[in-house]
Amino acid sequence: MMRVLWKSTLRWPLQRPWQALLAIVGVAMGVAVVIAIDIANESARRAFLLSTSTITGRATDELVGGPQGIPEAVFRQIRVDLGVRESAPVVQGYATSVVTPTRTLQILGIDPFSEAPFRPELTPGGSAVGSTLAQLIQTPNAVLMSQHTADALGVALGQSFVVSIAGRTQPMTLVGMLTTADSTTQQALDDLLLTDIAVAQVWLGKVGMLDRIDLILPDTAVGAALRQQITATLPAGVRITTPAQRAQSITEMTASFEINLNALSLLALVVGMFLIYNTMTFAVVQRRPLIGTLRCIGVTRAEIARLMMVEGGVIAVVGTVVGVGLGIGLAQLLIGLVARTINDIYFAVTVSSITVTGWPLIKGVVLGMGASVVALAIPTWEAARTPPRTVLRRSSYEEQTVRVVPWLGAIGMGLMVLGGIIMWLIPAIYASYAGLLALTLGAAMITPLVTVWLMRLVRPLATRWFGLVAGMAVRDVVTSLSRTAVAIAALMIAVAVTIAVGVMVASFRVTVVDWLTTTIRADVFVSAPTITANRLISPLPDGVDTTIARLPGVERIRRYRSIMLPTDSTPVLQISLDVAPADHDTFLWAAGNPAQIWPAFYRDAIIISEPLALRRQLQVGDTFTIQTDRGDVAMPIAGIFYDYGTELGVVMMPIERYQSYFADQQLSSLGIYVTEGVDSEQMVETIRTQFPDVALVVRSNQTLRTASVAILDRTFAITNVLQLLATIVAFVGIFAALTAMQLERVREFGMLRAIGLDPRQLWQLVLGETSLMGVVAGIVAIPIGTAMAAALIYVINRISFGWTLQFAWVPDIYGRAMLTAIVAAVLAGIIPAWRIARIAPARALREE
Amino acid sequence: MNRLIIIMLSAVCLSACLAPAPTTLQTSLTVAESMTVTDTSGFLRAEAPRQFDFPADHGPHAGYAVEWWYFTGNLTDADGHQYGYQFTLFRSSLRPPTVSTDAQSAWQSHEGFMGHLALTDVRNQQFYAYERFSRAAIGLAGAQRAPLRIWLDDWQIVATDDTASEFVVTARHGDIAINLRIDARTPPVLQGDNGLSQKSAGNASYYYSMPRLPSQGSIQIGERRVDVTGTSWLDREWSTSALAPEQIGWDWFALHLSDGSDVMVYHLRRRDGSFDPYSGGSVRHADGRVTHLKANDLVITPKGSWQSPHTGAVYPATWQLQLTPLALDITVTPLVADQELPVTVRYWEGAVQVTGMHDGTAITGLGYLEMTGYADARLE
Repeated sequence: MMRVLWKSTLRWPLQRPWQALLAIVGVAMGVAVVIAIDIANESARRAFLLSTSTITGRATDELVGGPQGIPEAVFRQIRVDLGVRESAPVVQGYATSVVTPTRTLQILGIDPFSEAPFRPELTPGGSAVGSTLAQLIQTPNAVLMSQHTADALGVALGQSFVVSIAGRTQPMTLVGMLTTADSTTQQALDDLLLTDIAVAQVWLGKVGMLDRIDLILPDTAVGAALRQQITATLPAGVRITTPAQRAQSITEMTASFEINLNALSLLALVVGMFLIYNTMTFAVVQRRPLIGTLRCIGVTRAEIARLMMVEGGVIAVVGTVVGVGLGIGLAQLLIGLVARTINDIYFAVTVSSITVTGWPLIKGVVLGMGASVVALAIPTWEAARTPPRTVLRRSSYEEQTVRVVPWLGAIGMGLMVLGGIIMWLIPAIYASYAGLLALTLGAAMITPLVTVWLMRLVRPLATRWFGLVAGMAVRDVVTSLSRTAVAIAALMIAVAVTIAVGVMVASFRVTVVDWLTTTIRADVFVSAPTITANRLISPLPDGVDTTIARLPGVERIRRYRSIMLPTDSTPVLQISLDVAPADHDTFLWAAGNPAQIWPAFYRDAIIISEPLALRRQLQVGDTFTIQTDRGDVAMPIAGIFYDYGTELGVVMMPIERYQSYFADQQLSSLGIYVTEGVDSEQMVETIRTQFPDVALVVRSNQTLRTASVAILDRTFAITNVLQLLATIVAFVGIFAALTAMQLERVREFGMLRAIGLDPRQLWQLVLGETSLMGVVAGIVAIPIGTAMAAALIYVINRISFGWTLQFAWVPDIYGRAMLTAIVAAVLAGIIPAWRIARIAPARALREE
Repeated sequence: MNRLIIIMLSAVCLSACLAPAPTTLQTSLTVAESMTVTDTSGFLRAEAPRQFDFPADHGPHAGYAVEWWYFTGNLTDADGHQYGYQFTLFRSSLRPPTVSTDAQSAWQSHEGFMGHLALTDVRNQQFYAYERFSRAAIGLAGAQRAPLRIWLDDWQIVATDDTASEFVVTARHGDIAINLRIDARTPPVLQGDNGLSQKSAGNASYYYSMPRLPSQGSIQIGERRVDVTGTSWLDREWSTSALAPEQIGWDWFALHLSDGSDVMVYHLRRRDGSFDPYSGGSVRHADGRVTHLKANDLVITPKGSWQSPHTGAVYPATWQLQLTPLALDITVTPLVADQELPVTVRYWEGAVQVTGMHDGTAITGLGYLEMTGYADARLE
């Protein structure tokens, strides 16, 4: 008996391979997106940590300094005066390949004489180890790199090549290869250029300074005493910390970014889950007659349930496995986007390949299987529960569905309200996403109800305006609600997500463009080239400001010095600047009274950005401790300004105060105001020709704004990709659902043909029905998408990044969303319409 | 005495020190061979006898490729326990000082330093040895003439006054430390031909020794810090050229005998196992007279063997030394068998005791023995 049962199960997908395939695709896509995002995030983080740990080596402690680094004399003090032998100086920086400018290369300047205990991974390989190192020290501009990196740069051993450091081209000579035994460290060597510290200092403009001093202190009382002794001798501005602390505070910077990407990927899974549910429900619904028959001949409920679960399970397993494979492939595509975003807004990371670890895969598999099982359980339970006699009657199921609809709608309303309350009351990122999920599910649940209402509304009109066939199409949507509802809900969610993300991105853009217009006032901006696009922390060459100030046509200049300021948790961006009274209205205040802010600012106060205030719960009147070169100084906060440059937070103080607290006279950028009648673009040219040999980024107001918006758009590239993926997942699902649904009705259509419907009318009927579903999905998606956008903008953005965004109404987005819904639905109707119209009525009637 | 191979190797090891431990020795030797044919043009060479000038010559001689300050000594604490120490700073030029390097960074340096510190605890039969490297940059290591100071990290040799009548030697590594005041008032012995020591055809070094320097101070081994007194021996040598390729190693003796004489003998060994005619030495008698020894004045016989548990290298266990013109026949025995230094280029250097006959009367003594080229030879 069981064998026959299994056979019947097997036959089903074989009879309808497309339906089975689409179900698999639905599961696979959902799983793939989740896995891909996870792997991409994980890879970026691991690449960073790995390169950090390779570069930190076995150091237990490290000395770090202020913006300028550590005077190299401190190293002599540690080594010679205190006799700490296990100490190594490090000078670090970044370069970009001239072959592929998107490739970030890390320059690590070390002292080979100090290295032995520290970085055994960074040992040259090959037969002539000693001479390699002798050459590293003796050959001008010598570097070591891994074979992989050399291949990527197209450099052979002994060859000279050039890279770009802060916009300058720097010649280098490859004198030896770095090799490691295991592939993990091999990966850490990717894009690493190892050079002598003397060379690195010159290349990176850090002569006399070190970025770090690595120490190995024993984990004993002696080590602790030594640590104290070291701390006591350190000059102000140099601190002792541990590599782990530093790496952690850096990786914490991307926490919000990662959470948000993960959440978006989960959204894709939610859509995917709807598809799975849809497919599975459909599979069950279609076979209700079969199930009824089986029950009639004595098959038990448990057997039926097992049968369905196994069948769904096979689809789930195959889908998940395919999804894992797809996910890994997709991660490869996404890693570039993730890395670029991190580089743009957080820190420099060099990552060129993905690392697949167990966790993202497990997560993807559990989510995929779990979602499938849940999606399968409900229809299976329903089918198994129904008395055989009733099961055989399809109308019973539809009646039942219609009875359920109002209840479902009520629960859906409840869920949406609950979601809203959660987001309102619990200001935590995960709670917000839970709220958003509740909102989404609730919206899905009210969709059938709205569908019924809408159809009731349009039915008389449809018949009157478009004739009988239109009326039939409308009625069909409702009479086969068990099949149409889930498909509509899935489409609705996909479209709503499109709207929500679209509106959020648009709002962000509008807000930032407004903000840029207010804050970017100078006519020309001058800065040094940097790797991290939105932070101008590289110093300008000395004297650039004075030279420019003397140029004819320059009215005045504003000086800026930006540094990454270490704090007890994540670092913040500290911008020290000139603020003239004319510049006061370049700030938009979130808190504080400008009349009081400015006197305080010039006296002893700082102003901070909104994200920093939210993140650290700071208010006007509080103090913020700044680790200066002269020790920690708590400065009062005079005002909180809107800032969309970095979510890490910004602290601003007058540049004179900065220079008195920090041993740093360098500048990062200049804002130049030209006199009336002078052309900005002309001034850009004048400045460029003034410094022919210096790598300067000189941009006019317009160019800078465009560039800033371009960076912004770049950071949303990954969001857009995810949105697109969610839409594709939805599209595939809708297509699968509608196709299957229409094909199932072949007999019904045959009957219609037999009683006189011509093929053209059949086309109208099928397409009319699917496009109606698209319209319903679109209509429901508009308010839901808007609500989701509001949640993203006012709740999730604020919690994750601390930004206040203006809500932007962009009709285009809604129009496009509506169009997407209808096009998706119509497209999904074409194949069935085509097939059905082709079948001779007699054959169609014989179908069973 | 002749530590040219060591120093030539060290020039390489300064860089080879990065290599992982198991392969270091081999690779550094491979490179050492290439270093011996490396272009030494631009450096000064020890070609003719020169006028020595003290204390100035205690300081560095920058024009030469390699140079060292080599202290060894036998010490005793208040309880009569014996100790030995070796403290050496090697200077090695990466390029001639005449080559300008348009150095912008203070780390740009044309010199590297290597240091060896070893302590022998005779009573407990323990031996401790450490090695360090540094470039002569930003004050991490260096050598200066006035005031006299040669240092590598916190390991240093300084003179306490302008005439260099006393050296202070301090070094610490982990919980091993030495801190000695060394009386340097005895005049140096110029080795070879008035300080020009021929090592092979066309290769020589400038070489002087200060054999019997009264020393006092303290040493530390672990938690135990003891006051000690004893006798130190300072060897100073600088040159540019290396040993000839057929010379694979040497044995060097620095012995303080009970009759007040000090014996220095170096025994160069050739690849084919024969006795190299450039071997030699000197004896400074108690009255200050110096007798120089040529190869044919020496009969040097290894007795027995000791195999290093660390490298597997086989060293002679004891030596019989016969200096025929002086009617001296002595046996040199290590105070601790295992005094092989676990450093980049392995060698054996340790405290020894002397027994024997001089002109028919029994004689004893203490001193230092260095044996090189045994561990290296195994690798060839």
